[in-house]
Parts: sequence; C-alpha cells; structure tokens
Amino acid sequence: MLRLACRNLLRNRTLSAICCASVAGTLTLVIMGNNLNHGTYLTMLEKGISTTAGHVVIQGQGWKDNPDPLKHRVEGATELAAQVQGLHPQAIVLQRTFLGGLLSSASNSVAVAVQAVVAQDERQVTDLHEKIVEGTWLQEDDSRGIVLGFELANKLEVSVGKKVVLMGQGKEDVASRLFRVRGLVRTGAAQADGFLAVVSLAGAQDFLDQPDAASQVSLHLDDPDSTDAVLAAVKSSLGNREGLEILGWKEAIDNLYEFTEVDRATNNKFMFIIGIIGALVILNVILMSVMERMREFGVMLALGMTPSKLRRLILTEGLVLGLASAVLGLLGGSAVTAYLAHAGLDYSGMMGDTMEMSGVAISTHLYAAWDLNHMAASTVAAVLLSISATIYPAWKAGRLQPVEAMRHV
Amino acid sequence: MPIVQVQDLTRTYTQGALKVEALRGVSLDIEAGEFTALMGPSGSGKTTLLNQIGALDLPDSGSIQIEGRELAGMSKGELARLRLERLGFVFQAYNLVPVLSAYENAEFVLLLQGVAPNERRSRVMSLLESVGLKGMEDRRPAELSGGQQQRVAVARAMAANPALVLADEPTANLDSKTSEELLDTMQALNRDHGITFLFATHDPRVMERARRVVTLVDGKIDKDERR
Amino acid sequence: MVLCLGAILLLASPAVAADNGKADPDIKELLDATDDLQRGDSSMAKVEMHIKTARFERTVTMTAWSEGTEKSLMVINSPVREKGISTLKVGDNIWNYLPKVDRTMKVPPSMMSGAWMGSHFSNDDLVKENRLSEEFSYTLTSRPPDNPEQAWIIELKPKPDAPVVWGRVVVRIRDADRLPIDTRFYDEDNKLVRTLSYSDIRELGGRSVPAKMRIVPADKPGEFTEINYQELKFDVSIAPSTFTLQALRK
Repeated sequence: MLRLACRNLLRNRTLSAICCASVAGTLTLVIMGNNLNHGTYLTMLEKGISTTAGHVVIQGQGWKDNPDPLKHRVEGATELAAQVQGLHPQAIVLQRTFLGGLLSSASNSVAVAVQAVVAQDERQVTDLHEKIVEGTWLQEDDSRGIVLGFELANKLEVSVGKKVVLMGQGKEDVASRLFRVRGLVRTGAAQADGFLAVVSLAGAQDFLDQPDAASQVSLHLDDPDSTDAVLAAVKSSLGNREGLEILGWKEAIDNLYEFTEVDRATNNKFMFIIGIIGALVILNVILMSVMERMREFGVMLALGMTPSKLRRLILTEGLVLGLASAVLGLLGGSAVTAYLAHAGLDYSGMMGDTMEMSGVAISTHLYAAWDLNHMAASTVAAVLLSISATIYPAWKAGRLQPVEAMRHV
Repeated sequence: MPIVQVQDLTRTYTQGALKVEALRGVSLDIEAGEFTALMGPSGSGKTTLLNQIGALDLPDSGSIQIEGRELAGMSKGELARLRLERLGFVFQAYNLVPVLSAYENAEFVLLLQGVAPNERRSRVMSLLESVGLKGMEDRRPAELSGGQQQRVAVARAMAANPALVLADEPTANLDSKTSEELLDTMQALNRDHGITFLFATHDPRVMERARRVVTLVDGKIDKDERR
Repeated sequence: MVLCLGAILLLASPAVAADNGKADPDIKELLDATDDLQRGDSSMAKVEMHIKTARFERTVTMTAWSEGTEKSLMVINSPVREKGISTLKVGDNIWNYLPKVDRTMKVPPSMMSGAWMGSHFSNDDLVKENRLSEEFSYTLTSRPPDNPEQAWIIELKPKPDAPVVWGRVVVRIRDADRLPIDTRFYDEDNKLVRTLSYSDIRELGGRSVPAKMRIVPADKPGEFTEINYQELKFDVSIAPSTFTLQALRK
C-alpha cells in the first residue's frame, strides 16, 4: 500500500516535485520570516528592558500607571539595591530615576525626558555610553554633569562644556538646577536624540530634594527565562515592605511586549492564509492525479478493492507528500535561519545604522533567532494541511463506480 | 450445480433522455469448466451481461446466482467481496497498474485478501510461469508487450482461485499472432486446470476455440450453440 | 511688578556710597532699589504689548495687577480673539484661563518653554525674577565719565552652580536719572543673545519710569517684543481674593 502510494507519487515526478517544492518553499519562507521577526522582537525587547526597566523592577507603588517622581518612588534605594544584589549576586542591579522637565540654554528651551542613573553601573547594561559622539560619558559622582541627545544639543545651541538649566516641578515649588554638558549621544532614535538628557542619580536626587530615593531599582539577568523565578524570589524577600510594586518585565514594558505579541499574531494570521493557499495547491495536484487515474481505479475497484481502501491509498499519498514537503521545508527553513542567525540581514545601506521601532532604537543589522515552538507548530501545520487537502480527492475517488470509471477517457 | 445461474435478467440504462434496454429477459446457466463466448454486435448487451455476471452491476429485475448465492439485494460491499474472492477479470485494456511490476500486479488481488507473503510468492510465481512469463516478473507494464500485459492480467485473474474468469474483449487490442498465443494460454489453463472462462467478444478466433457460443441480439439470447 | 519679566528692571532711587574718592553708588543698593520700586506694594498697570517676528506681527493689550513679586494677575483686553484670557501667578506656579473653553490649566514647568503669548519673553522670565539677585555677583565695570552714555555699567556674573543660563548680564544705568538704559544678556561664549532696552521716560503712578521696554533677540534683529505702559498705579488696594483660581475665571 505504502509502496503503491510512493510509486504513484513518483509516477509524475515533475508534478510531485512542483507540489513538494511549493509546500516546502512556503514552509521555508514561513520559518525564515518568523525567525527573523523573532530575532528582531528579542532585540527590541532586550533594548526596552535594558534601557527603561529590567527583567525584574522594583518601583514605588503606582509608578507604572503614573510615572511621577514626586508621587511614587523607592525610598532607601541604596540599601534596597544592596539587599537585592546580595540575594541575586549574578544579576546586575541598577538604580534609576525618570523625570520630565524643561531644559534651557541661553538660546532656547526644550521639554525633555531625563534619565538619572548611576553612571558607571549603567555601562554594564546599556550601550548608551558607546554612542557618545562628542565629549564623554558621565563620570562617577558627577552630580553636575549632563549628557544630551545631539539633536537636543543642536536645538539648545549648546556644545560640550556649556551650561544648561533644568527646571521642573519640585516638592513645593519649581526646582531648577545648573548642569554642564559633558557629552552628546547619537542613538538613531528620534525620541532619544531630540529629547533625552542623562544625569547622575545624585544630581536628580538633589534636584528633587529626595535623598536616597529612586524611581526604580532594576535587576538585569543573564537568562531572561529565569525572570519568573527571580521575580517570585524578590517578591517574597521584600514582601514586608510597603509602598512598592514589584514587576516582571512583561508587565513593566507591557506596551512594547504587547506590540511584539500583536505583531506575532498578525503574522501568524498571514502565515495561516498562506498555508491555506499551499493546501489548495496540493488539493489541485492530487485531484488532477486522481482524475488521471480514473480507469486504473476502476479496474482496482472491479477487482474487489473496497472504496475505503482506495480512499486510504490517496490519503496516504497526501500524507507522504505532506511529510516529505514538511521535512524539506523544515530543513530549508533551518538552514536559512542558521545563516541569518549568523550573518543577519544588513539594511544599513538603506536605512542608516539604527532605526526606531515602537520607540526603541535598534540596529538595522537584523538577526534571526530560533523560535523552536513556532517551527514545530508550522511543520505540523504543514503536514496537517497537506492531509486535509487530500480529503476531497480521496472522497471523490471513493465514490467511483468501477464500470463507469473504466469507461472514463 | 452450475456456477452461474441467470434467470430472466433485465437491465435498462438511461443516457440523458434516452432509455436503452440493454437486457430484456436473459436466462442462462454456466457450468464449471466451460470455455464459453458471448457474441453479438455492439449494443447487443453482451458486455452488460458480462458485467452483471461479474457482479459489477445489478439487474433491474430477474435473478443472478453465483455459486448459489443470489446477487440481487447484495450491498456494494458484498459485491466487492464476491468479486475479490470468487471472480477473476481480464479487461480489454488498462488492466495493469503502471507503477507496479508484473509480479506486483499479479499479486494485487492476493494482497487485498491479506494472504501471507510466502504463500503469495509461491502462487504468483507459479502462475506467471504458467502463463509463460517466467523471468519477467520484475518488469513494469511499460516494459511488456501488449500480449504479455494481457497474460499478466490472466495470471492475476487466476490468482485467487476464482470460480470463473470473465474476459471482456481481451484480444481486441492485440495483433493476430499475439491473440492466438493468448488464447492458447487460456485454453491450456482451461484444459489442464479446469478454469472456467466466459468471454464477451467479437473476435472469431475466440469463437473458434469456444466450446459454447451464446449469441445475443438486442438484449435477448438469439442462439446458444455448443460444439 | 509682574512685568519685571526676567529682566532686571532698574529704576533706581538715588543711593550713594563713596568709593575711591568718586561718588560710586552702592551697586547692590542700585540693583535692589529697582526691585524695591516694584516690590512690597501693590500695583495695577494697563499695558500694550507689541510683538514682531519673522512670521507675524501683533498687538495685545492687557491689564495687570500685582502684589509684591509673588502674586500677579494679567487679563487680556484685546484683540477680541484673546479677550479674557488670563494668567495667574502665585509664587512659582502659573495658571492660564481660557474663557472660550472655560478651562483653567496649570502651566507645568515643562510647558514653560519658549514664548509667553508668542512674545520673546518666556514663562520662565515671569517666574524667575525674584531670585536673580541671589544668583548673581556683580561688579562695576565703567563709570559715567568713562562712557559715552554717562552710565553706570554693571556686570553681573552668575554664581557657580546658580541655575542661570547666561554667561553674563550687563546692565547700564544712566547717571542723570538713575534709570536703566538697557540690559544685555550674553551666553557663556560671550555672544550677545538678547537686549532689553528702556525708553520713553514718563511720570506714571507718581514715579518717573521708562514707559517702553523692548526686547530684541540678537540673532534676529528684525524681531522684537515691546511693552508700553499706558497706565501705572502703585499702592492700589486689591482684594486678596483677586489672586485666586476662582477669580481667574471672572
């Protein structure tokens, strides 16, 4: 039976090959496309996590919904950070404060987003310090230093060494503080380059008159998959402290995470439609071959073969074709993924070095990542679609009457 | 008891708006060991009668019995089983599955019956030998001549030890020499192994060899000659 | 007076401190005195503001009340499109009221960028004036006999770590009437950024004051914002409730 099925498929090599190739090709594209997206998502999420959050974040209760440093903060941040670091020596623990304000120079004023960080610790997690185009990154303990996006510096008409004044809402009234520009960064993201200012945590604490407070204490882990475990551990070790919200990264950067999930879902819908089209191709080919073999089937039925056996024969053909195509497609997709994971796709010629996606700046050199679950699911889906495409032709064959079938021209 | 008992068979086809009365009350008995030909011009109903006896089609009225079993009233599945187990077929053309070898074609029926591989092998090999195709069992139909293909069909038809082998115009596509050879083979099988053959044919060469010729005209038996 | 607007409005009353044999006034008194003139008591003014930029030219008239330097209320009288828009300042907080949509908005510090009402003054100017004297150190760089305008030229430098964007500010006060001629603002590279000049000295509210103030950005000399005092009264009685959000809406 199986032999017959295979021989039948090999009978018309060209057609079987076309069928196989189109299904395999589609699966390869699906796998390649998904893995490339997966790689990009991972990069984006990693960027988002490292620059604005952490795998686990500890914030003042209510911060996520209302990021107002005057209302929500972590008190005793230094001690908290040390405690958390002690429990998780492998993680990198950062303290940060985020605030908004007005940055003025002699020439101009711009509303900015300020990140206050522990400058040298920050280097372990983000690469902002590598994007300095003029001047230097903040030094340890420099509470008067500020690093600006280069576009922001242009707007303010300042350069390295010049002074700027930050004005913002303070506890009672308006707070203002002098800073000197230490360096300019170019990230490639319009948001950052035009509106980002980085100061030391100490500087922000003076500005806000909040000694030893921070908006966020974040943990950055080697292995993102361990997030849930670490989150639980942190929650339990800090359980008795009030006024804190402790979040995993999926919640902390939920906008970005949701974006990637929605994108995935949309892509999956497209891939499903493509899969249906592939199934229709197979349906067409197998139906054609069934029609061609009507006389032969008539003889077999005349000899006493039952319709159900005949249906099974055709379904087997579909299954073999599907399996072969799926395996080829999986191999092809894996091969392309391996290449893209290594060499990547370089769009820098088209788009410059960095591009902005959903507020995050990433390199234009995209790499694929192995989304094994999706690959397995796609392959299984390919086989299932092949089989289901054979159902109609098999059913048709089963309804043949031997005498009429043999007379068929 | 006769292998085949046909009583007052009628069968009418509708082709579009046309009604064709293919058989109009045919009665016939066939005994074991016969080498019988059904003759008649096109449209006489001989093929229809053969199909009826071959359990490929059911009558509108009348009865057919194969080895005492009444066909009318059988389900399609039962008919198929009957065909598989008790009947052998040789068709005019396209008998064989092109992707299978001669051996595989011949064993096809045995495969469907679920016969064990050893038994299949010995039976098929001896059958192929008896139709004169020893050594050619691995050839595909494309590698066999028309006559050789028909012989494979004969071997297949006999594989399950049927009560009756039905042959519908088996020589129609063959040249005279090959026809003679084929018929010689079938005659030998009939003589040496007692296999019952029923032909539907125009071919005079068949008629020469047939020991009984039943002539049909317009759906009725006209003559029934034995020699 | 609310229209200090970040400039050091120098209306001096005579104050003298001898130095070097020449009657050098006490600089601090010179500077403070101008603040004093605006300070302490209440005032009311009717002002016309004329703005000319590369893109448009317009005139706005308004009435302003103030109490000390902490509280002030400005209501726009014309043009009709903006009539009724008012700004309330209490301490460092500023609120705007827009009658058309009947909304009061607190102006957060981040919105204090750029022009107030499209002028060359910033909200920042509105808020910051009272801290200037704390944030600068000053020196006399020229005496009246030594310069053509016969003016006291004072250079103010921001104290280290003072939240001031300027590199230095130069004030010129005419010796004759101890009224300011102009104030120049320089950035750290010693580039002139803007000039605030005073003119049209008149009697208003019982004092001799420059009725016209004009601010000109150095890089766009065709543009300016000019303020004309049409009426100015001091020591008027203003109900304290005037400087409230509720009053803002009326």
